[in-house]
Amino acid sequence: MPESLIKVKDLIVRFGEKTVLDGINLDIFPNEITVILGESGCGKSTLLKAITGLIIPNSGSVHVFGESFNEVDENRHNQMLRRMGVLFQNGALLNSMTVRDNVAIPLEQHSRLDPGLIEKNVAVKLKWVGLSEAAWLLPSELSGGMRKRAALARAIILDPEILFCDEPSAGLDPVTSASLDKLILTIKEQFNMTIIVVSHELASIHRIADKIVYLDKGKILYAGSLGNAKSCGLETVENFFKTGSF
Amino acid sequence: MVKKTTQLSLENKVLIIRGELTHQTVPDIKKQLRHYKKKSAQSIDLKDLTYTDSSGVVFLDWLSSEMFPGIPLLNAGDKVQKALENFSSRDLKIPHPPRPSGFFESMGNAALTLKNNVADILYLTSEIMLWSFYGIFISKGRRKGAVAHQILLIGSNAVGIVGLLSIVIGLIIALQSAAQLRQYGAGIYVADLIAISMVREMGPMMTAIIIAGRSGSAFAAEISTMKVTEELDALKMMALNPIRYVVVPKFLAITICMPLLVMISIILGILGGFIIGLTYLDLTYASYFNQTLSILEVKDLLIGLSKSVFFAWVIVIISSFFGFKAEGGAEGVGIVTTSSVVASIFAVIVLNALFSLIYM
Repeated sequence: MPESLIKVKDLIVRFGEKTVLDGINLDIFPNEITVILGESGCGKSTLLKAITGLIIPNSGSVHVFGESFNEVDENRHNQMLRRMGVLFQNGALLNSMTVRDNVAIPLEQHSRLDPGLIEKNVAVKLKWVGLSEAAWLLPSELSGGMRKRAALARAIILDPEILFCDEPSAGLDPVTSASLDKLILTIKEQFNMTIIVVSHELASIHRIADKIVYLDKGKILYAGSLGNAKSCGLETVENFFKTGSF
Repeated sequence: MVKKTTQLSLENKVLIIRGELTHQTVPDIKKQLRHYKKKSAQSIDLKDLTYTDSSGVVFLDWLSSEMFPGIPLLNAGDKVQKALENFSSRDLKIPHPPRPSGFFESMGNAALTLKNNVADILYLTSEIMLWSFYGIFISKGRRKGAVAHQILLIGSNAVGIVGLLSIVIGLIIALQSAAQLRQYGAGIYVADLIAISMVREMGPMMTAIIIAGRSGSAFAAEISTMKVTEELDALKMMALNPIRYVVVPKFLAITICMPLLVMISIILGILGGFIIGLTYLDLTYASYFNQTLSILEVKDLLIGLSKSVFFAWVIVIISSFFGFKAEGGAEGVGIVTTSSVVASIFAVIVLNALFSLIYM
């Protein structure tokens, strides 16, 4: 069995009195797409933020690439972040910058590549996500789907080892959503990337998931392969895959 | 993280790259290339290249097309070959930024924008006026309690800051002028100066500037946020006129509040001058107020108050205009809010100058 790329152990996250994540244990292995799903408010996005170091847990640990964000200095922390890409729910593109500039930020800030090579690499990634023609547009001039694809290009510009996608299909029509899923699959295939997706779109889960993690009230109800989930003996999980609703 | 090492060598006109090519190692390799002449290599051997990311592929493409034009990339392993195919930038068109406008094109665009903006402001003004006066008689499409709520926000909540600044301004003007006037034994005329300046100029203008900064910015931010979050479209789809529903309550409220705030400003400004008259110039209570009342005419007060109503209208119209113009999310809201405050203050000062010319 390969060594896990992300190891979450006894993770507890509280917001005030409310326990959002309650003793999460999870291993994520290389070159797999893991989909985290569950009802709204079950802690999916919080888990994603805890793994990426955006939230400091109250107790427990998260180890990414064998190291914990809490135990490393700022330099090391930044080095770890450069090995990850995040596709935020609304894209989180910088509104004052063109698509090209948004995608180029990580390369311009974290590499010593000359502008010519950066320009070409940005063009490659924009071609990948099908936005070559939109390079000089501002985020406000893009549709929802285009914005997500531009954000995806920015997330993969440094060829990260792990890609996090927070609800990539949210707010998109089924066709755009399917094309984004196809892109995620291609990225996994071509970049050998480990991808963690937060989603509750059944069709999307069926298209992309290798493994699923089903969260319920801050606890993991089921973690395992998509195939086994449908007959795991847990009523809530089986019902979700039968009806598509929680 | 393990430091990735890459080596470059030229053997029998074959450029050999060993190790890993990534966005971290490419700059160093490119530096080493300075030692090689343009036509010194006839092929690039990738046998010992164990990994390349997309930046490495882009570099290899540059190497074989620009540094050593036309030379082949040989012996790439499966992983590297796959990356070469996936990230190839060879036949890629680099998108160029849009051509910047020329001088005459820019001038034309500016003229066109000005014309459109003037038309928009006139249209907005006419809509606001129509719904403010005609709308009083039609209850449909009106938001209950909105005017009262706006009076609270624009008027009541601003009394403190307007009052405080007015008294301070009164103190400052009185103090500066008293120092000069007392040399000539004309200290009593401080009362005249404060009364005239506060009633005709400082009271209305200062209140307008405070309201432009305080309430005008809030109007622009509120309307622009509603625009970018499609709330204005939602109102239209509910057959509600956004100008009537959102702007008119503010317009009516500011029309009521502004003269009242100006009155407060005038009274407290005069009070500021009175404090200096009493303490610094040793004037009596009666002499100061008699002098103030003797110099003031009803006409002065009417000019001051009527000016304030025009200032109020200008603030609402300009901030609404910028609010409706907002585009592009949070950044757009910030831009129009700033522009609205700057334009409102500018317009208030210019309008004040015009009034001063007319009512010399």
